[in-house]
Amino acid sequence: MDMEKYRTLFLQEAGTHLQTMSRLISSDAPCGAAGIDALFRCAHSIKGMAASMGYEDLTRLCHELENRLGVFRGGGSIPEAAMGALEKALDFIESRLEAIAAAPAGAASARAPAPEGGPPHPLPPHGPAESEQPRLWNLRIELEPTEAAPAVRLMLLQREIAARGEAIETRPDAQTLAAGGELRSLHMRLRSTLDLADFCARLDLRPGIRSAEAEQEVQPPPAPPRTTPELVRVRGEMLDRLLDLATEMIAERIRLQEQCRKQEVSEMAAGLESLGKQLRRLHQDVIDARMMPLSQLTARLPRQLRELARKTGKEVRLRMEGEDLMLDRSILDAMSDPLMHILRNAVDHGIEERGAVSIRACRRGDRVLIEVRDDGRGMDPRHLRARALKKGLLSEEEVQALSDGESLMLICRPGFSTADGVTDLSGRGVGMDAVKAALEKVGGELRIESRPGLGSCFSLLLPLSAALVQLLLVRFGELLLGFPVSRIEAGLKVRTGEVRSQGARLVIEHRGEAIPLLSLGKILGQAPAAGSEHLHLLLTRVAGRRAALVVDGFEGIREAFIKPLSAPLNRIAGLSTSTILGSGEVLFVLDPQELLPVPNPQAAGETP
Amino acid sequence: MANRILIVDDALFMRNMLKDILTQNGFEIVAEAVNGLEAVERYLELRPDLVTMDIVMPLKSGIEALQEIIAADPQARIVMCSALGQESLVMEAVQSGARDFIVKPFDENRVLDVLNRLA
Repeated sequence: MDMEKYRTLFLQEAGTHLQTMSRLISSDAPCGAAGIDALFRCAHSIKGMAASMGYEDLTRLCHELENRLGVFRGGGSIPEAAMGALEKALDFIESRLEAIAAAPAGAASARAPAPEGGPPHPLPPHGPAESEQPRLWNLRIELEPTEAAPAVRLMLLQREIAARGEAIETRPDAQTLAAGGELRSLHMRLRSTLDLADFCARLDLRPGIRSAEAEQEVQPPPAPPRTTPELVRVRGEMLDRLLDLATEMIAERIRLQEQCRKQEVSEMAAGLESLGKQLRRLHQDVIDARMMPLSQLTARLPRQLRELARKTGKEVRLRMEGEDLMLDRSILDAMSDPLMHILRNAVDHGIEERGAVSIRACRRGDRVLIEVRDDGRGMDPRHLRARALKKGLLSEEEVQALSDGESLMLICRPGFSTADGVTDLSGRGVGMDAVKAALEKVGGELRIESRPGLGSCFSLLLPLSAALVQLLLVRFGELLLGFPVSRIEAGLKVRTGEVRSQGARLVIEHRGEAIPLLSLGKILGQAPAAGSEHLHLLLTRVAGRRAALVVDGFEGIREAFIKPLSAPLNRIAGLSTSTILGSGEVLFVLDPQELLPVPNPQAAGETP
Repeated sequence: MANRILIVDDALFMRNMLKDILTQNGFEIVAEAVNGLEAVERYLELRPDLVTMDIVMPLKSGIEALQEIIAADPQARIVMCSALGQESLVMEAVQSGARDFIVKPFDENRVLDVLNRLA
């Protein structure tokens, strides 16, 4: 029986059970009888599925887990000492699920134990002997001490090995070898689809070679799975509603066709309006169907927080509230990394030895508020200002002009990072600037509050529906383009005469600040409209610095559903999404952050 | 099986030793050369599968001969035969395209190991 097609479903269901178990054992309150029961049921469910799929080791583990939980059930509570082992078991289950998700089809482990009374499952086909996926190898070769011209020998070996894959690292390197001398060992790291262990075993037997070993490097863990699952659960009644709507719309269309045939124009107008209403309802219903609870995002957090706490040797308690809140699934996906990063920061930089982090979600009007609070050391605005100055991000005057609140936002400037070295936990290039950008990309907002000694609070304000954003439409030559309103600080109309030159660049004075002008024309490679008396400017920020983008005119603000572009268009810098206007025209939406080069005093003067 | 060999060495003693080892192990000696000049001529004439090439020789060195042969036939499989202490010359040879090397005095095992792998 081919279990392969059930793999996705298995992973989905097992994943849900695992999340439940994780939440149960990490909550503040110790596990009572009801909790142990729930844990038991989860372990039992996973066991059953794993057995059907033929995952022996997973089945065995869940079976053990079930047994232990059964014992605890009798006692009414889980002993403190067992918590560690429980956590390890969940970790193991998670890693097995990840491995299963990442494995190529057909690579299921050996035959399943026969279910009681049922026929035995046939052995699944063996995987290929030589993997088609190149593996990472570490080779170590030692020459006999008596070997003559050892450097030459090693060089020849190095070539022989390099021919069998892609060499990533060679020690000593080719240059050192060429210089000759008493070199007797060779280390190489390479990627290869061949079995280098076998090759080294044979190499070992050659005269002159003292030892030759090859070790496969453990693959890095597969990319973390999507926060939101590929399969979605939709309430039955939602599907019924959608069907009803679709049926109504078909009827409406038939009416319209008839009216069109009879040329009954006014009836048609009414019919079209009716259809429009139905379409809006349909759209809204589908959007609702896409909504998922916040717990999709937060379920993994307790485990990840435990890991963090362990790595840093700190004691961190996690409290979560409002996990039932519903959000659009694409927003949830987009928030996964940012939320994790903020959490990491809280543990890494905020909390000292022990502390608490709380994640609270609630509705605020037509938005969702997610607050991440920690009771750690907090951030000092003065310290942040000093840092910005030291890193050359701001000038003395700019720094003095910042309020305490604005100073906290400094951590979102690229290049600001408070740690000098890159720590394993917080350093990966997903800085706060990326967090802010990710948030704004889905139409959200980041706010930061902090009191030195008391802690910090990061507030994420998210729209309920990702797709609908406010766009500022601008005209440029023949083009109509859209900019997300959230990325634009202001639209200005200035007289051409107000433009001054400052060194090599053209600037405009705005609220006492000299803002460099950048030509959209130059960036897009389009000639701007002929010079006129006035200039239309979009005030925006690029890498923390203000800039004014010159366009030909403003065409108003529109609310629109934007769709991300697919390949290959999505690789064009600055072009992120598109939407379809009422006229049926496609409007491209630009992201000034990615479109504009960082304004630089050296830049040649731009003639708009 | 590729077993036609050209032996190049200016010392008769060395050539004979090598000849004995090789003929007893299934190789066919197609020719012998006593200097670099002859080596190139014989190679181009007979196109052997393998060449054992001494390094230091009169008229033309083994390295020069190696370079000329490889220029004419990039696939040429040439094994350098060096005396102890000629490491930098061997290195130069290998950089110039020699496939492997054996050190004098010859060890039968080593010679066969190298040549069998190349053949």
